[in-house]
Amino acid sequence: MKKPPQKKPPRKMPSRRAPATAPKLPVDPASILEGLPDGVLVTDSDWQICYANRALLHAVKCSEKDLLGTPLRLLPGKTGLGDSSSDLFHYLAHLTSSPPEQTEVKTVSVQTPARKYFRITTQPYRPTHSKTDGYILTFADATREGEIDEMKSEFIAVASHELRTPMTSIKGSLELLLGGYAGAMPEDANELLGISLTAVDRLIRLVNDMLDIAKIESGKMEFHLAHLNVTECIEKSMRSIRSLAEAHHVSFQIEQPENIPAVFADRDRLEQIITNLLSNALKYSPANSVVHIRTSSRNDTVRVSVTDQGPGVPPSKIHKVFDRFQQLEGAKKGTGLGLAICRALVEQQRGKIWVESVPGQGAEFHFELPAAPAD
Amino acid sequence: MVIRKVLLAEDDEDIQKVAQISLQFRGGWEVELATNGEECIAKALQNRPDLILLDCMMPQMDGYEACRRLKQDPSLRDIPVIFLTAKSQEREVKKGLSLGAIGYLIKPFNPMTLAEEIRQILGVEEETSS
Repeated sequence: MKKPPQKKPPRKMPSRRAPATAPKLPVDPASILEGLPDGVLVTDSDWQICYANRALLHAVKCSEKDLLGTPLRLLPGKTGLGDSSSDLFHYLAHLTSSPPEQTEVKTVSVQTPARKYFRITTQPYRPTHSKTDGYILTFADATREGEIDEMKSEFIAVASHELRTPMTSIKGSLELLLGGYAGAMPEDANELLGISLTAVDRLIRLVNDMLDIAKIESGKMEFHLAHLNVTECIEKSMRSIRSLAEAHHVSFQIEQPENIPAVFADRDRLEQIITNLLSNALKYSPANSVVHIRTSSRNDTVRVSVTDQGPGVPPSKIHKVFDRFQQLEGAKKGTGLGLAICRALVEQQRGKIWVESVPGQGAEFHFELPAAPAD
Repeated sequence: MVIRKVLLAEDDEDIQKVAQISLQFRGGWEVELATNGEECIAKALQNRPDLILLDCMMPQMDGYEACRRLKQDPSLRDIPVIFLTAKSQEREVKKGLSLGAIGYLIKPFNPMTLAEEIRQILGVEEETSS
């Protein structure tokens, strides 16, 4: 008897496919890109534009013919989305000169001629699993969020300036009273004036930090880049914070090889980064401990590392330490903005900052800035 | 050099008052006030102070412009000018000094030590009453 043909087992569908009962996809999958509300743009590995969907062409008011084959960094000029001073131009120049290895998201403003914001997500495209073949960029309209951010930054800037002026008068008046201008004070009054002075000093620091954050976020902070000797900046920062270190009974130890190249950065901002990192280390350092500051160089960058002997950063907080108002338990009073300012200042100067820590064994903060080009 | 009269140009009334008290109390100096650059130049011409303290951000004429004009006037250029300002960036300090100021003091200032800092900039000793 002839054996009946064996039935093939049903082919297992990939889990992401719809079950057989789902309605049939009414369009060609490729045309889904054309129907998306967000702009989609694809480039090859040399950043030449090879695809733009309908939403993107509509947003940039440009025809496909004009856009295809254009280098991505020339997109603003090609489309009238801003000149060489525009936010979009700077971002695309940065993106194409330092290609991301993972998904990167950035909100930028454009002039169309009305001010609009796009949230640009850039993703490397690797069809062969072996090399990057190009990039997929999506442009989502983020105008509402951008406007709210702008208003927030402006409010903080105005409020900070209006707060700082009267605080200068309060501080001065308290110092005059404590200095005996109105005659000798009873001990209790002196103590209360002292508390007020400490509090107003803290408020001034907080307002200054908020003003800096607002300036950075609204793009109003100016950077005057120059060739700088990192050692000089470290020494100046150490001098500015020495009295605080003495009050905490903590000492600094600086280690550096002789042949560290100069960095290309803004002097005031570099000193601010180092001072904030030293101040942060002091906040977590136990009495009679040492904060180490090391400099090193590699691959056209200069690295500064600040290591404390404090409790370290718990793994659950390590990704949040550079966020605003993230203070760990056991910190002495601070504004909660120092590390957020460090990150913003380092990134604006084309550097990177990170922390390494084993709980119970201190924290090691590092930042790297580009070495100055040789003359 | 002896300091007797100081001309202080500052537009915020409260800061003006604190600085005035500080200069009188700790310096023992007579203090005249101006609230902008133009008034500062007019009072300098009228009263010939021994020292001018200038804020940077003032209405009508800012401190930088006032300093430039003071240093251009042959009858006023020898009066030492010191900036007293919240503008603390390195390039702002350089700008102030490049305009002919002899010193640059940053706000918030400590009113108990302001007079001493001014004496150090000018290289003068504290006058002791005999």
